[in-house]
Amino acid sequence: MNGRARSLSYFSGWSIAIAGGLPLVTLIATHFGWQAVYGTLAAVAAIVAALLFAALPKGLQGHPLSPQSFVTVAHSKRIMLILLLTLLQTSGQFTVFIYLAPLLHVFTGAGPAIVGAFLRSTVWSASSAMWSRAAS
Amino acid sequence: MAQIMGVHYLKPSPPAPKAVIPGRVNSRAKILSRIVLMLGNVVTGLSILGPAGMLAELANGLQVGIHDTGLLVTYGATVLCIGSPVMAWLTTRIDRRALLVATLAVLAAGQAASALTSNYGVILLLRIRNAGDRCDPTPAGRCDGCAGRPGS
Repeated sequence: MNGRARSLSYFSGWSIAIAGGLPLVTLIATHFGWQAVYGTLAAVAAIVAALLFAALPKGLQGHPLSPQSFVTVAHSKRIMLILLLTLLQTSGQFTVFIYLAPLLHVFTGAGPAIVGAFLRSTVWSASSAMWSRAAS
Repeated sequence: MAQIMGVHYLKPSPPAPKAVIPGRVNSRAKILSRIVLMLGNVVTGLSILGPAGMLAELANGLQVGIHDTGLLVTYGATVLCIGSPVMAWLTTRIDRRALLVATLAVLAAGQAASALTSNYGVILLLRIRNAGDRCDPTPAGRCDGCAGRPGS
């Protein structure tokens, strides 16, 4: 696995959260209430904390970051352009995404099952595109 | 024979020795740590976006409108946006394992507290506070790149 695929496998956690996790959130919230969702998340976070403790080696350090690093980034036209594009793309995506469930309900009368399936299909297509790009 | 034919195909040159990095953890442990890091990101992402999957239930339960419920994501995201680079800088010298474990533990406590309340204001405060905490995992996860050299 090259570096790009490695970091993608890590960052794909977000895609999995949306594709697999959000429909699950909808499912749990519909059947057991929203408190159950928070309870489940608390339990999962605690388990992951324990797993992290077991799996990661001690004494791991990141590349040190200084205020100077931010200045360097701010001076790079290319990085700032990428940041701007990411900002626009993410704001556009999530402005709609957050309200997808009520919008679907109002406009099409969709119930939780359809909303869950819709969330899944939207993100599956996006993440599979990302993976095929990483593999190429 | 190879000598006679002048071609050394019978004696291929030995493969170049693989570079040995001192202190390199074995590959299974590396894959495991990557999977766990990804799980950390899954649970972090879910706690940020979770309300999007249950807007109607939250709005009903907290007796507020869809608009206010959506704001739960907005405030969380705003704190995340500003806090992420700041936290990445402030925590840059902290041991990655200690940082990530502590972050996930605080996140678990915050989510548990959210499960036990039914007050919009409390949930909002918890989300803002929790988002500050969530600022850590994604930048801290960058240590994936240095996972092969602990203590370096």
